Amino acid sequence: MVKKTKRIQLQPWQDPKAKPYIHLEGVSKEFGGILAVDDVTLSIYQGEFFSLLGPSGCGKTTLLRMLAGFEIPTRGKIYIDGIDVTRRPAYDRPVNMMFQSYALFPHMTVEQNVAFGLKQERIPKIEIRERVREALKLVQMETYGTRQPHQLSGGQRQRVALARCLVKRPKLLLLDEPLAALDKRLREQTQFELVSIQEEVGITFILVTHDQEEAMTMSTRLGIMDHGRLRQIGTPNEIYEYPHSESVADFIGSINKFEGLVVEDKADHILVESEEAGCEFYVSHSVDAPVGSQVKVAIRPEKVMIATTAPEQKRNATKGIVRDIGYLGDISIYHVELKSGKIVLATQPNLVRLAERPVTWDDEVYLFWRAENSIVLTA
Amino acid sequence: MQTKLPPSLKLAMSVGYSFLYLPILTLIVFSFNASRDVTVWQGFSTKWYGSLLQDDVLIKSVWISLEVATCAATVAVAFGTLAAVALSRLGRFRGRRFFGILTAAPLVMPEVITGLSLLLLFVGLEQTLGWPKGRGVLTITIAHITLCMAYVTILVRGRLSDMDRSLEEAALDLGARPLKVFTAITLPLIFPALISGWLLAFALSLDDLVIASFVAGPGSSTLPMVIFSSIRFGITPQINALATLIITGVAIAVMMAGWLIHRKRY
Amino acid sequence: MRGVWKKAEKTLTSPFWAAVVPYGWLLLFFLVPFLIVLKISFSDLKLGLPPYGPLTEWVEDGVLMIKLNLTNYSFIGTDSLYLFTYLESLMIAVLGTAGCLCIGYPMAYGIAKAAQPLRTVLLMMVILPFWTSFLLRVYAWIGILSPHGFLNKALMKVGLLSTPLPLLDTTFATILGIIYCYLPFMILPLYASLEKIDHALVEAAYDLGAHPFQAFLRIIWPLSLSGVMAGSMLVLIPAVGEFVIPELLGGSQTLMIGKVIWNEFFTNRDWPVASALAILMLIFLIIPISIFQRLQERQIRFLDAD
Repeated sequence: MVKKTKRIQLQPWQDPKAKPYIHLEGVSKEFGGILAVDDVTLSIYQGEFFSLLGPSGCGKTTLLRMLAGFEIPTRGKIYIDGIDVTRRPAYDRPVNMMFQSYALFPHMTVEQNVAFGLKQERIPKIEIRERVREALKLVQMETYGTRQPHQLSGGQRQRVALARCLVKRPKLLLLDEPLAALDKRLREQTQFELVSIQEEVGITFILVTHDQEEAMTMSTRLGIMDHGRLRQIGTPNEIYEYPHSESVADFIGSINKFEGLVVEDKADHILVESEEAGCEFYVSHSVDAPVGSQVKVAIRPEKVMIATTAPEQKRNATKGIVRDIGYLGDISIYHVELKSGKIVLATQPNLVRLAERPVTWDDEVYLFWRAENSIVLTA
Repeated sequence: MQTKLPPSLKLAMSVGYSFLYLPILTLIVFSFNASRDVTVWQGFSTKWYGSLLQDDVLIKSVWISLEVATCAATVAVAFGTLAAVALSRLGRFRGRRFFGILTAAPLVMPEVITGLSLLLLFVGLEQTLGWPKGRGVLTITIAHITLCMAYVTILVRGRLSDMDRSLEEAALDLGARPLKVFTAITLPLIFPALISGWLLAFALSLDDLVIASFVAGPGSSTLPMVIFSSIRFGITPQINALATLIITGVAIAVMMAGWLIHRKRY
Repeated sequence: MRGVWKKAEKTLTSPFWAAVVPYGWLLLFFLVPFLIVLKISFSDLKLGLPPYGPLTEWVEDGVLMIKLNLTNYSFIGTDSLYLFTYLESLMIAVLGTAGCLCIGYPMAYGIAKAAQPLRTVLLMMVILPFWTSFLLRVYAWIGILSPHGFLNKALMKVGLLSTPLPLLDTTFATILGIIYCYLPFMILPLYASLEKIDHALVEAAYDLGAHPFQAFLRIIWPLSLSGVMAGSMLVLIPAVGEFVIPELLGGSQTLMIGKVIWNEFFTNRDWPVASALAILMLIFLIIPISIFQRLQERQIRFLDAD
């Protein structure tokens, strides 16, 4: 019961009465005739951890820089807490940004770096000292106050940069690839720390990244950007399980796609015939695709099951020959060639040791999946 | 690229460095010669250094040169820095391209033309506006500022573009206004370039003969002008002694500048 | 009211003021003087100060007449001595530049290849003479090249010469002086371009079967060409207009344009002809200067790129 209310609280975007905290209305940015950001409309709610995910050059950093006030949108408006900040300079916004390079001032100590933003607000010295101490404590750097940035490791610099932003108590914190400069192990650890700090201070975070794993683990919601456009917004689960378009499906994880023709369109299911897959897809959720239209049906590799004997079901099942097996330790990836020549990926957890594996190269195997697991891509 | 140097390259380098330093070495050695002849060694003496101190014209010109160089270097650093900041931080403004060319032009302008044109300007100004009255320290300083600021602009511009732009953006983001960002972040970080710019400007001003000769007036001969006229009369160990002093001074200054630049590379 | 103040404050603290002062200074003390030279080159010689006539004259009926006096230019054109001087200046500057390249390239290459602490020292040693007095470095060569100077003495001692060779007051001495004085200007840009070359490229060339000489000719030399160009322009441009070196080392037989302008101005007091000579010299230098500007701009655009 308790869990349920918490869930509702955590999903303000589900609530039609909730007021967005950050709102972008048709924001575009042109650089010398090239659209870096193309007509983005987006609402983010208070306390969210929102990630903008996309390949490099997709416009996500430009979008972030417009929120910070470093770029002025060519068209559109930006509202923070109901106030239009579109043309406000960076120093006049309740927004702080953590830079990819961390941008710690090299000629100042850690304490001076953190205090810099407060000094601009003309806050009494005693209060500054107190707040700097608190902020450094929050990121577990309280003993490093007198160090110079070049005396710190990458992870420590990242913490100082975070403290320098948080000490200002911004309404919104922007993070530009905050973990890109860290090695893999430290990155994973820092991901969880960032989330717990965010929950502790309750500030809305917007994170820009090209690392899907990072976006998936940390965010409440994420937006997929491509060629300056926001392709899809949703929770990590929604984005992964129900991508609207091929570009989103391709960007997050790997996926098998088949060309097909819609042969039956009912309220609770549709039926797609695919020569490429060599079978019929029975998709058990409603899709807006009329009979006779060409669509693509997609299915994630981990949703494809492998068997050496024919399954009972006739639909959602096909067969092929194992051409390659990628062994990753915890899982194996099977490359199965269908009759049409199409290679299908199927991942299986390695429940038994390698030597005891029942399926091997050049075996004929059956592939099948559950009706609710295939996705119809209409765009 | 770092590999072992082949012997032929080592030889070429030693020849090159000898070529650079042997003439300077002969200057220094013969400044301690007892005889008037600067090519035959006739015993050690420091008398030429003593006679330098007695030369009133020379001493006066040293003071004039130092005065001009100090003023010119200081103003050139201020203007050159402003120009560099305008060119690399203000984005695109009207006439930016032309301004860029104008700041670099004194570097490639032959000295004779710079000197001649400035003299003609000063003569014209005096005729029409009555200012500057005559020519002297003021006109030399103005000419040297124009020459030196081009060098300072190049140096500071290089430093500004080496600098991580996100540092300035971070300061803006933390609530500092543009002027505050400049004084609290940009200026401290480009400071080494300002120091080396000042030293370079100082040395250039101290070294200039041609431009100063055009724009100087009676009684405002700079050190190079005095040296030049005495060289024309013939070579004397007194000049060698002076050269030794200048070379020593400059060597110290260059090492200081080098140390300043390499001390802290953020 | 507040809005007015805010606007005033905004204008006063506008960063664009940063551009105004240096811009204005350069316009007044660099561009305007140059235009004056251009103007005077078209006026005629007069006695008195300033020794040139006005370009514009009010003739009757309030008609402003502009006289463009081309006699200075035609005078320069008819006297073959001037043409000869321009050509000799160019020849001396080109030979000096070539000399700098021959001595400077191996040095720059060696510096770029040296390991770090040594590299900085070697580089400093190139820069050091460039900071010491130009005039005194030229002066040093008088003692070396004069009939009783070190060079003649050394050559006679070895037995190569029986009587001193007239080295001083020759075109050769001028070229030598130019090489000596401008060598750092050649080495620094060469070093900058050579230092950037990834040694893996040379190793790749070796790996593909190139001899060291072929690797140099096919890989290093083409990649250092921008440095060669920049260094050459940096030497050639000031060398053409050089005054001190030909005056002190070249004697009366070496005619260089900088020296001629100086003499026209100070000795003959013919300001219009001196101005016309200066304008012609600039026209003469336009090609190397524009090459240099283009190189410079490319570099700065690269530096300013976000």
